[in-house]
Amino acid sequence: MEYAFLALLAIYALYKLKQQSNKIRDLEHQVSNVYLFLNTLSVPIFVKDKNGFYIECNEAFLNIVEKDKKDILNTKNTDEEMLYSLHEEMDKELLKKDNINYKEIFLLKSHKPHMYEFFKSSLTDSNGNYSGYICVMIDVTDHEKQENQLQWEAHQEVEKNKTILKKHEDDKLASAKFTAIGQLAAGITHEINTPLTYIKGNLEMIKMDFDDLPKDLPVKKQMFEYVDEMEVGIDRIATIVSSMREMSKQKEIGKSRKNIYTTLITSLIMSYNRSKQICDIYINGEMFTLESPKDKFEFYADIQDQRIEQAWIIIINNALDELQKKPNFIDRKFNINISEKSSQIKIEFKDNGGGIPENIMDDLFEPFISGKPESGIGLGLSIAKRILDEQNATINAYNESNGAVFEIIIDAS
Amino acid sequence: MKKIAIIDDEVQITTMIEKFLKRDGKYSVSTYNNPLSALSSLSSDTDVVLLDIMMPQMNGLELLEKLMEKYPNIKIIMMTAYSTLDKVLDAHRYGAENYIMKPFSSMSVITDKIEAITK
Repeated sequence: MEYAFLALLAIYALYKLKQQSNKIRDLEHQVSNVYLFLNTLSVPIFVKDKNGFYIECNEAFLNIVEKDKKDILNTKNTDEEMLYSLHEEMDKELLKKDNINYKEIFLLKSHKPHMYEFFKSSLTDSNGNYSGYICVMIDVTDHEKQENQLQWEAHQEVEKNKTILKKHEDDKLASAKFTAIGQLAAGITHEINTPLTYIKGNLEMIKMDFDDLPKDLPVKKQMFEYVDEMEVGIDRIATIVSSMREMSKQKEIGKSRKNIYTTLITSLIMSYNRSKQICDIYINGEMFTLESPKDKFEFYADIQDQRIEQAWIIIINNALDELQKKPNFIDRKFNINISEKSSQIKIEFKDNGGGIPENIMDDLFEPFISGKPESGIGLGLSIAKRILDEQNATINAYNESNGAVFEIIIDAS
Repeated sequence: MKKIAIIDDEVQITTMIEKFLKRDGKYSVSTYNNPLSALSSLSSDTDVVLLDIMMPQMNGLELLEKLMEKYPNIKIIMMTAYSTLDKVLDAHRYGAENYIMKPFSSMSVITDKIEAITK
């Protein structure tokens, strides 16, 4: 409001000046007549002749350029005005129009830039020819800041909505992919299991036949060894296929009471192909192998086992990514502990892979935050967190002993 | 001697189970690789049927329903290499006594289940 009033006042002054310009021939004389009036205004005002030389200005203008009047008058610019040529370009418009106004930064070498709105109005001599202009400068820096802030906030809001929309689309895509993979896995599982059944069964019967051979037959022991080796291989295939089968189950609608320890073992089996090349993994102090029983410990909670297994696999893979950076297999440590206290199950994944960088610690579970600039896109842990949220579990991460700890708490049932 | 029928479209599976069951001479075994021929020619004095869930022409659940209708006294054990237990639960609702997952953890699981339901 204050600016508008000042602008009106200045325009009124301009109007008076123009009225006078018809009566008084000399432009400098015209200006000096209103000089006292100009000085009463707190906004910077100056007058230039048709060649661009300052011929008058008020105190407010002298204050912002920090010059004496004598140093300005009859010069084209204040020497410190950085955008002089830009203003000069705008002034050419006044040859075509009576009034122009525009916003521009008024930049002096020694000051912070301020944004002004320049109201320029042409002056004419007694013959009606262009003889210069008068300019009123209104400081709109704060106003611009507010406007920019509003624009920035609006932009942020739009970006946020875009991110949410993208997340929904990604979720839908991930869900469709998972369904397709699930169906594919179910089909493959069935096709592998059938031949596996008669290979395994026949091998068992070969052993029965070997067993019937005379005890002292030299080749008997060796044949048993061969068959035992084959059985180890077949059992391994059967275990992996069985886990694949468990992972590919259709998404269960409701939660049910499941052993969290079993879900951990299933996830470790699924990750084994990778983990065996990186490090040994210990669960509750015992080294995990494909033969580890799935129900050695019992920690029951109401969960969707298939969903929670996905979260475990993400966390396990993240730890393996970090551990892989250590050159020696023997130096890599990865421990998983599961315990229960006061009806709460605590699962800890601890590695010694160097820990989580401090700069991403606060936003670790936000999408697109990654500690692996060379490979990660930062979605894994945000998905894991979302899954765990669905299961009413909490997840926290911190660094300890040169490594990361992911701690998950879930209510026991 | 208990009469066992094995119905599975995979010849290798029926042959293997037949050989296993005949080893000790405790069982009389017939095998079928086609569900329709099993339905038409299964002997009514069969004690136990080992029935695969996934078969062409007629799936195991349909055949189960028809067998239960035709031979209400026959005990049926479902076999599945499928990825979920949903079908097994359906089979149980239709009257199947038990189920075995493929691959079998051990061949003896077959005889254990047969003995358990024919005591």
